[in-house]
Amino acid sequence: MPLSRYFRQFCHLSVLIALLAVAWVPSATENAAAQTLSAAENKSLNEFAKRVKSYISQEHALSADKLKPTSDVEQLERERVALRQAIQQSRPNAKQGDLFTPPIASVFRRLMTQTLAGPNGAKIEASLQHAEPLAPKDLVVNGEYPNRNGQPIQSVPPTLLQVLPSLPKGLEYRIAGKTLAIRDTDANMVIDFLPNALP
Amino acid sequence: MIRVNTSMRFAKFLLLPILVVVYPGLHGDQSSTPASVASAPDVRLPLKKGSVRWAVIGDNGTGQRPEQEVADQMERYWRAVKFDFVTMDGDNIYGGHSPRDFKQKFELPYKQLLDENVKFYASLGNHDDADLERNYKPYNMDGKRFYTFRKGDVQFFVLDSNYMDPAQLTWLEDKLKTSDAKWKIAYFHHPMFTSAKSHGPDVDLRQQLMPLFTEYGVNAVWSGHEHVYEHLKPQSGIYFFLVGNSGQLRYHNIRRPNDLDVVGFDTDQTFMLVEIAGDELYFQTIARSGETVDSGGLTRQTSGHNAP
Repeated sequence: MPLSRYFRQFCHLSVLIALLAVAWVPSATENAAAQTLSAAENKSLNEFAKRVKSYISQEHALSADKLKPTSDVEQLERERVALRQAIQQSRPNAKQGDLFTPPIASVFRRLMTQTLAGPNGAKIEASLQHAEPLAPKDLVVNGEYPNRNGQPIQSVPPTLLQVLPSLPKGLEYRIAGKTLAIRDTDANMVIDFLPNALP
Repeated sequence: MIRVNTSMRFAKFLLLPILVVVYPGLHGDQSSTPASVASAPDVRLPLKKGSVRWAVIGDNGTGQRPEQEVADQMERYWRAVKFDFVTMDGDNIYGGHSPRDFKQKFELPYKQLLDENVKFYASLGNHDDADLERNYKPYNMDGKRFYTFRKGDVQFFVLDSNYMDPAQLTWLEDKLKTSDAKWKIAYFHHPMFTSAKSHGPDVDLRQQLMPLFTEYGVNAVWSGHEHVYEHLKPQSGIYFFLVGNSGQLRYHNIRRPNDLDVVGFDTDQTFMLVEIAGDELYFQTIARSGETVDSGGLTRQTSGHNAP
C-alpha cells in the first residue's frame, strides 16, 4: 500500500532526524571525547555535565539581576555582589568536591596529565608560565574569586580548554597554580575547585 | 666627610643626568619634559579623505603620570588627525577596580578625548576585571568578552586571550569566514610573537590562532602584555604590532639583537596612530615625549582565503 510505504518512510526519516539532532547537541563530554575515554570515564563526565547543568538552572532561577552594560561601576559591583549573595544563600552547604567528585576528579586529572605529557605539552607549559599565577590557597567554594584587588589572572592555555569538558555560558575554568577552579563569571565566584589537577 | 660630600656631588651632577637620559620616565622624575601639548604635532599620516583613523593603546591603566602624559599627546594629535576611536590592547585598569579606579585610570586621563566623543574599544588583559569591564559602557564591549565591530572597509576582531576556549575559536572562525571587509584586524592582550624578555610569546595561543588568521586573511594583529613597543616583521604574511607601554614601561626589555623586530622601542611610553585608506595602512608611533619613534606604510596583502 502506497500509504503505509509513505508512513514507513516518514518514520525512518523522523528517526534519522532525531538521531542527527541528538548527535549535534553539544554535551559536556564533547571536548573530552577527542581523548579516548573509557565507559566509566564517560559516565563520570556525564555526571559532571548533569551537576553543572543543575548549578546553572539553579542560578538562572534566582531573582538577582545579571550585569548589564552601564557607565555606573558602582551599580555593576552592587549587582555582582547581590547575585553572589543570592547564589551563596541558595547553596549554603556547597563544598569542595561537589562538582569534582572523586571519580570525576580522577578523569580530569587523567585528561590534564595526558595532555601535558603529549605533543603540545611544552607549548602548554610555556603558556602557563606566560601570566602571573594566582595563589590557590585563596580559593574558597562559594567565595569571591580572589582577583578583587587586580591580582593578575592566569590565562588558561587554549589546548587545555580543548580537552576539558565544555562548560555552559556563565561558567569558566580557571587555573591557580596546580589547581583547576570553576568560576561563575557573573557572580565572580568559585563554584568548585580541584587541587593538584595539573601534574 | 669631605669624601662623602664629593661622592654626593658626583652623584648629583654626573650620575643623575645620565640616569635621567637613560631612563627618562623614572617614577617620580620631574625633569621629563614632554613636547608642549599646545605646539603643532608632527603628523606623518597622509590624512586621506574618507580614511579610517584610530589610535592604539595598551597596558595603559595605571592612573599614574606617564599614562596622563601619553593621553595628553593623544589629545594633541587628535586635534590634527581627528581619529574616531581608540583600540585598547588590554590591562585597561591595573590594581583595584572601584569606581574611583575607573575614574583615575581611565575617565580622567582620557577625559578630553571622551568629551570629543572618541570611542574606546577595549580588549581584556590579565590585570582586568573581565566581568566589570565588559559591562562598562565606555569600553563598548556590550557585555561580551570577545566581539567584532566595523569601521568602513575595516573589520576588527577583539579577542579574549585570557580564555581562548573552543566557543571563542568557533565564533572567530564563523565571523572571519563571513566577513566581506577589505581589511581584517585582530587585537587581544597576549602576544603570539615578541622579543621582549618578561613573558615571551604565547606559543599555545599562536598554535590556535595562526591557522585561522592565515586561512581567512587577517591583515594585521595588535597585542600588548609586554610593556614595550614592537613593530614586528610580518609573520606568515600578517603584520604584527605590540603596544604594551601606554602607561606601563619596562626599560631595556627587548632582547637585542633579535630577528623579529623591524623597530623595538623600550625607553618611553608610546601610543600609535593608524590610518587605512584603500589598500594602504599608515601608522605612526609616538612616545610620551612627543617624539615619533616609528612610522610607515603597509600594503594590504592579497593572500588568504577571503582576499579578493
